[in-house]
Amino acid sequence: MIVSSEELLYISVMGLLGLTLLGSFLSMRIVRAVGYIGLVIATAVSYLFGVVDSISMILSALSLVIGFSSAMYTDAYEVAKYRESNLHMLIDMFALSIYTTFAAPTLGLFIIFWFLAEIIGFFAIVYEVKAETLKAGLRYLVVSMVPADLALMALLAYLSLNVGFTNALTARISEIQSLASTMPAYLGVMIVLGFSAKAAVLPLHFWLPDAHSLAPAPASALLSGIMVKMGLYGVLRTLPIVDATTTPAAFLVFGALSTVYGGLMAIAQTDIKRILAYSTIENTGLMIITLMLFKFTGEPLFYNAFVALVIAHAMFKSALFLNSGTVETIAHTRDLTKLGFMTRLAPLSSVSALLSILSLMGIPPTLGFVSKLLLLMSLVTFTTSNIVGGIALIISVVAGLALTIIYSLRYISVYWGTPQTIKEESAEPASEKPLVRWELIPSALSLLLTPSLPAILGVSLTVDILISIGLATTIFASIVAYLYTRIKRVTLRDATWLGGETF
Amino acid sequence: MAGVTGCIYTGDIFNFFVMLEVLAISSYSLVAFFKKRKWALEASLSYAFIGAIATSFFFFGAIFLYAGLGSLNIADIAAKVNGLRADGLYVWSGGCIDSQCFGNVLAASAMAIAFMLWALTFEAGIFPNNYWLPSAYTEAPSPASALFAGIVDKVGTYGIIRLFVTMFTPYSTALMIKLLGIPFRDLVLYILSVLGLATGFIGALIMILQNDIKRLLSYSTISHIGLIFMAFAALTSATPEVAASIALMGIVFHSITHALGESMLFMGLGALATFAKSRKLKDLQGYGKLYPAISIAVGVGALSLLGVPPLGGFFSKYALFMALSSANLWIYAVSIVLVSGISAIGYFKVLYALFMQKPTITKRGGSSVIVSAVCILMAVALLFVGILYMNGELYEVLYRGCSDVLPPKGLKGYVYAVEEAARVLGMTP
Repeated sequence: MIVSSEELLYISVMGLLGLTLLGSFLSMRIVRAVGYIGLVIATAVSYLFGVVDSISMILSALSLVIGFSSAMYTDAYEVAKYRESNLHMLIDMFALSIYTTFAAPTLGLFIIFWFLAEIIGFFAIVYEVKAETLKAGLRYLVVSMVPADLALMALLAYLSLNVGFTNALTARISEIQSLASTMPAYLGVMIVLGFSAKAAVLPLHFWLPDAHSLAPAPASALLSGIMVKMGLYGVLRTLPIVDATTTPAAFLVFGALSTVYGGLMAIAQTDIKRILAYSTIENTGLMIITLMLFKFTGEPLFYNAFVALVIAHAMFKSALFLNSGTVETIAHTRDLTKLGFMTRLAPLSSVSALLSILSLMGIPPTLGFVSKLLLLMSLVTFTTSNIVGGIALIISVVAGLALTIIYSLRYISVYWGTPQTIKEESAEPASEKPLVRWELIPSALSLLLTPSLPAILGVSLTVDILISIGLATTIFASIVAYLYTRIKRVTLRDATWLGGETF
Repeated sequence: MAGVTGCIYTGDIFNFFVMLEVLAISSYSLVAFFKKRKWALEASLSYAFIGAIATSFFFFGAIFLYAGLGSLNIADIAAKVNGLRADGLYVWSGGCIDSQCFGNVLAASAMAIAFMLWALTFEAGIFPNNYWLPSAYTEAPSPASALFAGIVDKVGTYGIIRLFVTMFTPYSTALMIKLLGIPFRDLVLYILSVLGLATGFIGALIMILQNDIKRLLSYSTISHIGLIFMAFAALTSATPEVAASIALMGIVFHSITHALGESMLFMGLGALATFAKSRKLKDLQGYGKLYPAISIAVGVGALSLLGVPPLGGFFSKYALFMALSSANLWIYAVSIVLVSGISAIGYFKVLYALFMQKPTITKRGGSSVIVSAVCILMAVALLFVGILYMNGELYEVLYRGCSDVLPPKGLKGYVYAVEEAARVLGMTP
């Protein structure tokens, strides 16, 4: 029997998934690493064979990178925080289920893996057995899972009515638009609303802060870095058959509202994980805005802005959530008012946090900068065609970005701040290294991926762009390296250069 | 068991009644099986008392049908009210001349419907006739509860399908008079589906408050029967035939998957409760580690009831959803997912207690080989049904079967088959 190349791919992906899970159950790191790397290669190969398209490839590779660093991070984290070692299996399964959701070539597989990821997500949220986590988990089920299932069912039902049940299940997920005509407006609103609940866009956002802040740190990194993108991915896939007026207009408003709301709420928090959680709401608001503008105009600029935002957000948010886990294990608190001394205990971790925060703020030459540049460019382009709407959008987005800078500074004051109470005695400075090693992967990537972003987006590269990006990256990297060495030398002796305080 | 089989095989309203009685009486005694427990006796008594009234109502309904149509044979009644010629069947009653049969067809069938529906919704446990169900199911021994939830419930559904799909079809002269602007038959179906909607929500909402696992499962049954009844809205004469056959398929398929899943949960959790000597959810904490086989099967069953692909439950719920959405009844369609979402809290509470929490004891309470084997077998069956359906084979079979049953084709088929049988048996006049 001759096995076609596509079947061979399926078999090898299955084998690699099994290998990774086996490594996870036997706690063999090398096997897991081989599994993850093999899956990245398999994804790239399946892209070359045309089994999955570019957005699937990008998102599934992203989920593998973040899944890998979170899973490796968990090995040290679970010992430091829970004194037991079964969390990493859950994290591995969670990361792989999200990966398969993104990599699924057909609608049927997509739906199956979607449900799988959701259920594993529930168990990741309730990992710490407490009454609050159960409540957060159940809220996650009702507010996030049910609307998303409704959206999936409605989408499947609509396609089944058009092409028949089995054809709908085996339909290529990238070819939805060739199967069905534009759906009625109420259906479009319902489906996009369902998917956007998963992405925690207003009005179905309120499950996210609790769920993301109560889950273990690696699980939050996956939930926030990758899982909210599942909702956006769903929206992107249904976008071709959504009507072109009502739905985009409604979700532009929702997106703008989430941007401002998320930013405002993030400022008011004192728990560092809740700051990050509200920041996720803000960022998904930005992403849904670009998606809806893409639907309005159909120009690739908006799509590129969306992809850049997704990549940048996935990198810095997962790095920051892992970072918050490091802070928690070292300082035994997540309360912002009790922190502020961390840079002396954890210099490496402060560098990683700085990198991610700079990307979150959008400082060049990080990924965050490029994505925000593309976002503002697309907003300006939109304003030329629709002045009132464009200006309203620009105002809310800029307000959101300004709020981002404020709460980013609040987050970074964990490291460079003025602590009210000093609790360094209770901290364990020695336990930094094994955690930060893995956290540095996504945060460094948010700097290093910048030169390759045009290639990912499919924009042609010219020599002067390359040179300027290279130059900026070098200068930036050397400044960060200098800062790091200086922090290491200076902060251990005194903190006068930070704000005049001596301890 | 005999009662259920009898109910389904019989081609005669009166025999249906007799079998319903057989079923009901055996159920009463099964509920009161643990006769030392006072709650079991109470549940059995209340069930028996109201059940006796309900079955008598069914008997009244049958009497009215006989008075009106002069027949008790389903095929004969169907032929008469639909104006089909089936001479072979008139051996049971005189023929109809110009839609004048024995008595007043219209009044008789309306009265009969009213009485029979009471009994059938009672048997199915539809709101407002659902109050007996939780205590009866909870107090019955677990295998009996499994039977109740799996099959006894479905007798009510089956009866209603026979009434409305075979006997009083959209093409019949009886029951199609306009009332409030819509045909009477459709009005009844709409009312049933609204009751189903209410039942679904009430069942799911009460279910998430339960701490007694068997009570939780009984409310889950109520909510699922509500889902099945909701689909009756897609059987009205206003819906296109394709949607109606999908609806019928959804009802049948959901009955199958629900029967498998719910009975398995009753057996599995019932066995765990016996081992724990308590039906409280908090006494079952951590049993997933003590009895992995049963617990995994229970997990699969709960996820199937919740509707997670690739298990059967997803596809049956999806079939209901598709039927209702293709009939443009989006409120019902959305409600199906909402009800599932609410009941998800209940199922996940069970899973959470089984798998996430630490066991309070470390010793196993007893051997569980048979229960494990049965539960695992049913879980595999659920998975198998789902995959088969996804491949399209089961879908084809069910869809063809259901569209064949639907009137007018299925009706003629049914009537002529019975007529043929009568002729073969040498009863031609």
